[in-house]
Amino acid sequence: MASAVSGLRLDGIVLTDVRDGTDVDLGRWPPLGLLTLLRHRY
Amino acid sequence: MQVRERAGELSALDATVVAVGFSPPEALAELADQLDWPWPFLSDTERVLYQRLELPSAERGQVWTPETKAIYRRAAAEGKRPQRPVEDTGQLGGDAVIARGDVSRVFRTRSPDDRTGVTELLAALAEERARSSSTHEA
Repeated sequence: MASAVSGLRLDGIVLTDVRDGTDVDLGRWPPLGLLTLLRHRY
Repeated sequence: MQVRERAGELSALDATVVAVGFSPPEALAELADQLDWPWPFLSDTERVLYQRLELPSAERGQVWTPETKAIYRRAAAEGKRPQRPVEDTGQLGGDAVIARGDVSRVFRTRSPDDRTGVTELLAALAEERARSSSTHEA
């Protein structure tokens, strides 16, 4: 596992919640969060 | 997902866990239900977030390991016909600590079996919370 300190911003990344179809703007939300990105579906 | 078992600690940090996959939304909605996932679950079919976080792809040999091939052979011997993957099996996952769009830490996996432990992720979240609290107080 490679861990890196980042200065990245997520401006402009708006993804859809799979349950209710609402847009989530990751450039603004959440105030504090952990993104966990999956591999392909199993 | 082990992180769900640490929901109390995450709540104490006022942190949210956001799952992201690149499968079609319908498939991910089923997965969210199967996992009884308590937080948002997002679809990124274009993999824009994966690219922004610079999550790498695995080599073919890392994905189709002897163990993986053995699983398929066993299934075939039992008369099961496994579904062909319809997505990029090489795309690796990862984790990132974020606060209002700022990415403070990225944990990039190096192989399909590589994943950061929940304790380390919680420590990174706690560090970010302490950092942002001191910034807002200053």
